[in-house]
Amino acid sequence: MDAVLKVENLTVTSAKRPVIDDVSFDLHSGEVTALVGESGSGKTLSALSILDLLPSGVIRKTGKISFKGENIFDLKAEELESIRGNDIAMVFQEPFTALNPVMRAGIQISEAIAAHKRYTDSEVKGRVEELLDMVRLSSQVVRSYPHELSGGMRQRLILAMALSCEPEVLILDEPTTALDVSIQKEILDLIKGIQDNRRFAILFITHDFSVVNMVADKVCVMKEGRIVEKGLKEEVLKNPKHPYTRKLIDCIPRLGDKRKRLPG
Amino acid sequence: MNDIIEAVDIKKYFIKRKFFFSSKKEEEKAVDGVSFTVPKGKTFGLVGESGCGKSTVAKLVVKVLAPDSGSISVRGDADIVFQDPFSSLNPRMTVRKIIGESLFVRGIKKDEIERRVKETLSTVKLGDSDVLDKYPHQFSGGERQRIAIARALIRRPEVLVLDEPVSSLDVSIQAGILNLLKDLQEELHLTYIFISHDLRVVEFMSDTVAVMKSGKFVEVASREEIYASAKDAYTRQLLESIPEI
Repeated sequence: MDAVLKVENLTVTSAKRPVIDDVSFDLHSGEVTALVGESGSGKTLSALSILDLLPSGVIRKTGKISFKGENIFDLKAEELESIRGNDIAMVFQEPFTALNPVMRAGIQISEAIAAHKRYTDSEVKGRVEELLDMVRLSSQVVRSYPHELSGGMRQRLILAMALSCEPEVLILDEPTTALDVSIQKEILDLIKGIQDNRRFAILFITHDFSVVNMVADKVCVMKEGRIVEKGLKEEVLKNPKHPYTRKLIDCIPRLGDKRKRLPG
Repeated sequence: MNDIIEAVDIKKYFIKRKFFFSSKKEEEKAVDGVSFTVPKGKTFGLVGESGCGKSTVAKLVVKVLAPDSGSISVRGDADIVFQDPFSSLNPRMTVRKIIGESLFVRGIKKDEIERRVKETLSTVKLGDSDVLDKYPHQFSGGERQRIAIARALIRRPEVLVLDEPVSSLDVSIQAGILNLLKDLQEELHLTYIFISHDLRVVEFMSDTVAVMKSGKFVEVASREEIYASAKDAYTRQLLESIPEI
């Protein structure tokens, strides 16, 4: 099956050095591709490149990002605007900062819809209810302010906003890192459940291989701007080839761990 | 008696108004009758979800808060390391000042402070001398957490309370900090209270584990017992939600 998004030989240079170095990967509808790496690996920047949202320190970018046959880097500003949030949606790190603290939840979702769709008021209302139901939030949340919601609920709200225009690609940047482990599981199960029903591609950014195990189909491991290993999740987890991949897997403590020290 | 920390039925309630102008008051039972002892050189792990009261217990142990009833006694000083290495260090202070501050306010002489700051920095494996004049923003998350640990250790406390000390860090950096904490415990005979929402990390670090929910301990057992045969349903639920590799 054809890829819905292809990143080909992406290199992004800042004044000091290449921050993304010849990175290539594909995203397919119905699949979760995990981009794994630690701080500074270039994983967030790779995601921002897809939406051409690179910060102003970037000097040069080469390579191609194809979405529906077009190169993202060749698109005009208005064309990009219509893709962002609509065809390609992103949930950024620190999700709480994406929510307006003085606006009720329902209005924030409506805004996300109204940015791209010409719906009547009652259509918007219906769509908001549908989205809250999809992320398993009670319709009463519509009247709540972000600070009145728990971390897990806020994350569901942001997911609802990201999914509001039925994107073909959803990018999630460390969506569960700030959440308790038990809430993390609920959110990951929710994401997989939604993807099972509506076919879209997910790019899931994380530094934690145990999260990768729970949610991914394919894995790309990034280190210092490069992809050091790529493959199906099961294979990479069972037989990591690159020492860095092995280190990322081994350094996580597990239940019943007899080790007195962790590697790394 | 070998116990360094003894807490007997401690309660801490917070009074909140229902909303700004309301005269109606609500009582939030942050810690609702909790008892535990910790022997010297051991780690007491406290695990629970956000809002269960574990950070309030931390503050009670280091005496930032006083219990409303019950008693908590610590034989020696207790210092604390917080979760967020970005907000817990004053961005306008150099490393030298951050670590040395608690000695400075006790009137210790400048030379002695300098000596002890350097010594403590090398204990946390940041012994490079030009670290002293740098500011927090010049360091990575893991390095900042080492600075926070050095700050907590400089008074040579008996007890370190570690409130989610690795939750904000990348996995391999987490591993480095956890290893460091274990090494420090052995070298300096420290007693730890280790708080986290992540059972895997708590298991790795602790001798005894308490599972906390809504201000109470629902289960307290040795590390082996909790993980092999947890009795409480909530504990088992937490265990089941752990992602496995």
